[in-house]
Parts: sequence; C-alpha cells; structure tokens
Amino acid sequence: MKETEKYQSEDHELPAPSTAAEQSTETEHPTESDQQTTGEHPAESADDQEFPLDGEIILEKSEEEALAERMERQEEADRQAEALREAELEIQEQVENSGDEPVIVIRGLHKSFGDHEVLRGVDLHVKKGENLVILGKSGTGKSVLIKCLVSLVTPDEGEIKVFGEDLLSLKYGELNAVRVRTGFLFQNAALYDSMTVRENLLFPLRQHKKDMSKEKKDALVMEMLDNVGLTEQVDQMPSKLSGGQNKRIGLARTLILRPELMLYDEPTTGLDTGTGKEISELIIKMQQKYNISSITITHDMTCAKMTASRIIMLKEGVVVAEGTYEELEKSEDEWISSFFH
Amino acid sequence: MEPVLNRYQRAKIRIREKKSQWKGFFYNAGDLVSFMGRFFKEVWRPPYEVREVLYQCYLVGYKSTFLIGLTGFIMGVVLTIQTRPSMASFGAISLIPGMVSVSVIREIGPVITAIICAGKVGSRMGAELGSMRVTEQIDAMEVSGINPYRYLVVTRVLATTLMVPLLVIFADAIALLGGYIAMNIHDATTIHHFFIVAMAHLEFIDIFPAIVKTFFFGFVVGIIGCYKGYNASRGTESVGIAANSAVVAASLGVFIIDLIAAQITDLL
Repeated sequence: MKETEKYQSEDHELPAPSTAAEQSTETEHPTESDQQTTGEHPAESADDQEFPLDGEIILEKSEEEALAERMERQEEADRQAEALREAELEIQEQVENSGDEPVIVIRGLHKSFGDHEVLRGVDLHVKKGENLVILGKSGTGKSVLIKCLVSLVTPDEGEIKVFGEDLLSLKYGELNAVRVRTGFLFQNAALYDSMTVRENLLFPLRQHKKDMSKEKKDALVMEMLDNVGLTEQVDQMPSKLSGGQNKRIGLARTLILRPELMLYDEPTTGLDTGTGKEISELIIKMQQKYNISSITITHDMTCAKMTASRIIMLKEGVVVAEGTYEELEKSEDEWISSFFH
Repeated sequence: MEPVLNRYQRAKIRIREKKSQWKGFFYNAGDLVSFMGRFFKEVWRPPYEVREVLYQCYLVGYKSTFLIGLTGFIMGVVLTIQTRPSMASFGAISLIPGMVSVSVIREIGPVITAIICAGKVGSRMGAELGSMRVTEQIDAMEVSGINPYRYLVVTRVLATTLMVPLLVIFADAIALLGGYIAMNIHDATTIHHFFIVAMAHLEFIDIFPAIVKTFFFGFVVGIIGCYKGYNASRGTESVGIAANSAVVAASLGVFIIDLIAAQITDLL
C-alpha cells in the first residue's frame, strides 16, 4: 500500500472536510456516538426538552462535544488531504525525474458549478501503459474530472498536462491534435444514430485520414469490428443494437484512430454482469494490443478489479485514497471498504 | 387588508423576476449574435464539408418540394378566388394576373415559404441537434478532434440559405399556376395570356429585393434552428423545447427581416 493510502487507513476518518450543511444536519440529528455519550435514546432526549433542568444540561454538553469532535475531524481531514496532495506531487516529481514522461499530470484541479464545488484540488498522474481506475460515489466529480482531460469542461483552477502539453493554454487546433491522440468512451457510447455502424467507424477516418484509400479505410473498419466481435452488424443502425453491442461499437470507433490514451466513462454501467465482464476483458485486450494508457471511471468492482493497475478514490472532489485493488481491499476504513465488500 | 410590507415584498419579487427575464432575453440575444459570428468565421475555413452540405440541401430542398408546392398552389388559388369579387366590382378582372403575381412574388410567396421552412426545417434541426447534444453525440465529435460546429451548423445553415430562395421561386411559380386555374373557374383565359399579363406587371424592384430577402430568410431559419438545438440543455424535455422555440423564434425572425426589407425597398 502506498504512503498515501497508509496514511489514510491509520485513522478511520476520511480526509474530505465536512460541509457546513453536513454540520448543521449533524447538529440536528445526534450521531450514534453522541447518543452513547448522553446514554439516552433520541426519543428520551426529546422528552428531556420538556424538563429543562436535566435535558438542557445533557443536550448542551452533547452538542458541544459533537462540535468539538467535528472540528477535530475537519482539521484531521484537512491534514490528510494535504498529506495526500504532497505525496502525489512527490510521486509526480519522481516520475518526471526518472525521464519517463507521464501521459497525464493533473495538479490542483478545481471546478465549481455555481456554488457547488465539484473538484477541490485534485492531483493525479498516469504513467504510460497504466490503467488508472477512479472510484467514488455518484456526484463526486469523476466524470467532470475526465471531461476536463478532453476540455469538454474547463476547470476554474489548476494544471492539466496531457502528453506533456498544457491543455489549458492550447489553441483550438492544437487541442484537437491532443484529442485525436485521446479516445473517450461515453457512458452511453454516443454513437451517431443517423449513421450505420460502418459510417460511425468511417466518420473519424474521413475527418482525420483524408489521404487513406477507401479500401484501406474499409479494411480498418472491419479489423476494428473484428476486434470487438461485431463484423456482422456492420450495416445495422445503432438503434437496432443492444446496449452491450453499442458499447463495443463505441469502443471500436474510439480505437480506430489508434489513441495512446483512453478515457472510459463507466464502461459497464447498465449492462448485465456477463456483458460487463466481456467489456472489461475487451478493455484489457485492447490495452495490451495497442499499448494504451487509460483512465476508467466505474462503480463496477469487477471491472475495477480486472482492469486497474492502480485505483484512486474520490470523495467530495478530493482524492482520499490511492493504491492497488488488493491494497485498498484490505483497508479498514469503513468508507473505502464499503466499495469492496 | 394585506400589510404594506408584504405588498412591497411581493412587488420587489415581481420586479426581480421581470429583471431576470429581461436579463435572460438579452443574454440569449447576445449568445445568438456570437453564434452567428462564429458561422461567418468558420464558413471560410477548410476542410469544406461539401458532401454534408449537399446532403442537407437534399433534405431541406428536395424533401420540402411537395409541401411547398402544395402550399404555393393553395396560396395562388385562394388569392385569386378571394380578390376576384372586389376586382369584378371595379371591372378590373383583367388585372387579376398582375395583382396575383405582384402579391405572390413580392410578399406572400417568400414569407409563406419561409414560415413553412421554419416549421419543417427549423424544428427538424432544433430537435436533431438537441437530441445529439442530449445523447452526447456532439461531445463525441468534439473529443474525437472534429469541429462539430463546422460539421453540423455550418453545413445546415448553408443548405437553408441556398435552398430557401429556390423553394420560394418554386412556390411562386406554382402559386401563379394555381392563380391561373382559379381564374379559369369563372373567366376563360389561356395560360400563355395569364402569364404574359402577370409578368407585364412585374418590375425589377418587385423581383430583386424579394429574391435577396429570401437568402436572409433561409439564413435565419437555419441559424436559429441550429442555435436552439446546439445549445439544448441536458434532458429529453429540452429536445422538445429546442424544436418548439426554434419554430417560434425563426418565424419571428422571418417577420422582422421582412419588415426591414419592406422599409429598405420603400427607400429604393
């Protein structure tokens, strides 16, 4: 287990600072430990309010304790988040010094939508040939994070380097050159529904490989469809295909430009276990065949276990743990282990 | 009676709502202008999507011919039948071909055709691009290094700008034919004579501005349809809203351009 995760699991608290909203909720609803401190059932506490003498003393005490505990937890969480950040920056430095240029480097990434802060200082890196899996509950900013990597979402603050290029300072043409080297598999595959499967695969080739002969393009389309085992569906419309087949075609379309980096946004969501496993196997197969680095966002632990070289866990817009599947699986932290068991 | 403070508070809220509505209107207007500006920037830049432009021309032009033709025919027939009694009371039946041709070519033909196109083509573009936005197909183009604006918007707007004038000319011709048939219900005349009289009443000032404004009609139908669809927010409901608002805004745009064109023509 890496230093960052070790640090995390030493204490069973999570580094994500609790928000003001959480604090107020917690004040209104005393936690189990609060109840143990007072030694009373919530219903009894409510009854106490009718008898100000005992009730007030007990209630005030428990609120103060809860507040102190929360503040302590908050400080601890901040310290841990900072430690994780420092550790990540150290690793990034080590990777850069080793002369092995990382494919992706992200430093201090912040993104808000209105008042809602989605990413709160994310740091990560991906080495060549590595598959990084990002785990986290819904709404923790995972999709926003990978959309920042292809400039579908512009971050408020921070640095993103893809293939050594600072993404935020690139012009549109330069950005597109980086995008061509990056593949993105959307959650719903996002096939062009007015085109057949063949046209879907030919479309990026027509746009980017204008010098390629028609025969070669057709051969490439059939090769990619063969890779995903769907050569027979070549002239079908996407609406006639199943969810799993759509994902496979989406993968084939993305890989047809031979990207060096793949971003998978929940590749197995909405699929049955068997099909999900097939997609995960396909991801590994393609990764090995074309030596692709990748980032996978998933809730599917089977997919994470099969594909991950390394996992990071995102909670409320900050990285809270990092390690291999096996390392994180052994974690005693309640929140982390809730993903694995 | 309601306390003054409450009434004051409610009035304040109403003013705030009105303010935000106006703010939203000006924001959208500004955004639309910037969207149009991008069109003029992107249209000159290669690669030119000739194939897609031709396909969109086929969808906008060829696929609309029956509807436009039928509308034009009805337009000519109705205009002739409705005006005949008035013209007859002045003993001016011989002027009907000229009246029909001037009304159709100067005003009714271009406006009705543009409104039909706003309904048929504008709504299709709004719904199509809105659906592509919602299902992340536009994002998929963007991330694969393809400029979706150039591929989706520029091609469609070029197609409407080129095709609407052709559809207007077609509708005008069919409307005159409808006028001839309607006139023959009561008054026998030959098609040759009808068209000779109709054309004799037309001047350069009737035809030229009418044709020029149809390019603007086509442009506004295309750009508003694409703008509404391209900027659809996430969610299936927004596809319907995009299609609906594309028709409303494009129709309004057509009338505004017509008003401006009428003023400019009047100055000539």
